[in-house]
Amino acid sequence: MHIFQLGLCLMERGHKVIIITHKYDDRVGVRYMTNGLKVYYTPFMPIHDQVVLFTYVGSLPLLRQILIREQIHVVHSHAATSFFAGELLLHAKSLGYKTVFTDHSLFAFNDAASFHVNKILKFILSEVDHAISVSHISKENLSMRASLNPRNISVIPNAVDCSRFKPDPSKRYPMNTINIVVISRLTFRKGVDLLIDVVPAICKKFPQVYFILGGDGPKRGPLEDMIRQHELQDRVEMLGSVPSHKVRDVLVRGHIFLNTSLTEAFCIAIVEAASCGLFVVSTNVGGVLEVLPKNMVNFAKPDPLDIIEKLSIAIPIARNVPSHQYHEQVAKMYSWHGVAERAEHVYKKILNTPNPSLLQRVKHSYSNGPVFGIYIIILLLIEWVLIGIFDIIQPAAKINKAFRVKDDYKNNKDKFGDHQFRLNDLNK
Amino acid sequence: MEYFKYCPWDGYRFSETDVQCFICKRPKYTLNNQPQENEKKWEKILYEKQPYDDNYIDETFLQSVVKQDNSNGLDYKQLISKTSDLIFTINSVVIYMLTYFVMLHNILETNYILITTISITFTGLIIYTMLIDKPQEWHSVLSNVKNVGIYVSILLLFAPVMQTVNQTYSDDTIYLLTSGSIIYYLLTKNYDYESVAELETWKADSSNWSSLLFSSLLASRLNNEIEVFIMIGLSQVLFILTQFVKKQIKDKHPRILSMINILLSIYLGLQLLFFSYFLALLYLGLVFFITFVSPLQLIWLYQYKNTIQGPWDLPDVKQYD
Repeated sequence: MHIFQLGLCLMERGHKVIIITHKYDDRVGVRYMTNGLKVYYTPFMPIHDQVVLFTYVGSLPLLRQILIREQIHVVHSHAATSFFAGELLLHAKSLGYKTVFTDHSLFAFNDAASFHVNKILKFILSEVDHAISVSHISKENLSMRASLNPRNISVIPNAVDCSRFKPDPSKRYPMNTINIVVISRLTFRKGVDLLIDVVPAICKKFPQVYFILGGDGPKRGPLEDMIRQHELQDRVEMLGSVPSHKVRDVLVRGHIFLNTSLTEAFCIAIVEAASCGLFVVSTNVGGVLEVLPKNMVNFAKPDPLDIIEKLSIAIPIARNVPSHQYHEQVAKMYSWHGVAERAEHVYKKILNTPNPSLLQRVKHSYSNGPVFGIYIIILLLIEWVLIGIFDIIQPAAKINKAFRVKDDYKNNKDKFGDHQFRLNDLNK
Repeated sequence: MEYFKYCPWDGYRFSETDVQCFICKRPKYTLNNQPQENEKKWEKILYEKQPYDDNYIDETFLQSVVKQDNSNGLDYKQLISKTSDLIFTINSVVIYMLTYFVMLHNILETNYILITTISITFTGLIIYTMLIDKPQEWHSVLSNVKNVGIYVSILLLFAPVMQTVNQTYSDDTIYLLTSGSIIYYLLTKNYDYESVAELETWKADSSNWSSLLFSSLLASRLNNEIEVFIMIGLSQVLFILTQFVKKQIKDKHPRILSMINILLSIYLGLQLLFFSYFLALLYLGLVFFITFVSPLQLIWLYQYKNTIQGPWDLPDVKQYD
């Protein structure tokens, strides 16, 4: 959604945007989405959980063709766990393009998975011109993980399309209850274990409370066991997996949105909930503290007793929450047009910076360590040779450039004649 | 000129006299773009557009990072006591192998070994029953006796099968597989005894299957079914049941467990001398290295451990499965 919305807004600002992604089921080739946003579904198959294997040189020929054909200036990748995005960044750097990376997650430093992800990220980001993070905590985390100059990291938060998340207090049901909505993946990181302790205590303390739980995941079983054990079948409603276009319909049923995540870089869910006019109670982890003003949210420690205490403060005032006022506030705080404007500022800044030479890149690569650094240098040299070979076999000048639809018609429709005709008129 | 309190690249906290970062050797970072007196102070918020660049940082950058000082982290005596689990496991393996060699070469009579094994099992059971807090009720004792009886019957029934199932493989193959399984067992065994040594919550893992594998491999080299029965039974006693007794002893009388380890190590070292000087030296050297030298290495390495904690770490919450 972030990439799609940002792409559309950048196109509105007059830029050309293409999206490059991997294969999805049978979807391979070029597709045009809303407003003519071009998407290249490259024929690289995801192996597990929408992640493509890191081949390094396997994607180089195709990606080179696309970047030259579309006359790209800046390559912008997203997410630390996307190997395809990382590979594209590395190729783009070798081909002489400017590169930007946006990080959407927080990673720790002390567990085995984090060691590996951070090492690879350091390798990939040693080549990037500028990085973007979605919160200030995420910026600190990224600068330490990838050893980046913090002045090369801009904080541009996510946004919400508030026109899709409008409040509607008439849709709150069951009526005569205070409805608490929880929509998240039911996994450990989303704090479902805290929810298992909080729900029975709140139901016992406040007889008028009704829980609406949306989402699916491995922790669904323990949650259902809790409901059965405490006989809360008439007080807790489990919706299962909620499609993204139905999320708003679930949110508007509630008075309070509860977020029990154990870590979040930004937490877009609470912004969507606030846009729908719900009061938010959330754990004070990661970047969540930076997202909403204090009049819209109660922060609790990631401890069941503290969450219960903060919910106990929120429940009596839940009916008096000014939903439409919240919606208008959120619409002013977060918009994709603002994000596009700030991203554009980043692109303009890096377009004026000189490209590093191969020797400088080799020196940067060696900073990854004595063993891994040499391995990266070998990969860089292989890629440099391959690009030289491709430049001989298929020179950039001989690659057909993509046709760009100009905005002349949109800007001056009258010039193009009568555009009011209808098909029926032709038969007369 | 004002400087940052922390190095922005690796979070190293500068002292008053530092001119560069101790870790990355970059110079002490200066604060730039300080707000003027009448400008609004920069805040770490996202919901308001502030009159600063998106890449602005101030002196609060990385203040949330906590770096653990590991210079005085570990105590030598505590580390030595923690090696007792590994030494006990190695001793169990050595006892098992010694028993195997004794039976293979008919050094002692089979009946004598059988009686010794049964005696050790019952002794362990009595010690466990005496040490556990919960009193055993008669019906659960009878139920356990019934289960043991069924298990022993099945083992006796399948002993001839276990003796013949791997007989066609050569000795080299069997000993190679056995060595690999023993190493796998030692590497994958869960030495965190608090989590594994409760009878109610114990579950077999890959190390237990590995112990069953090497005991069944070795059983195929033995002379008769009774010896096979002893070997398989002994493997269950030594590699599965002993950990419950060991936990009780360690909880209630940790010094006794240490004494058992020391005496057992000396006894086994002397026994190995009868077989091979090299093996005895190797065993005693290994025990000495693990008990006294490895803790020193760990203490030396620990000072270089870089523990970085911050608001991105997952908090410790009770989990439901």
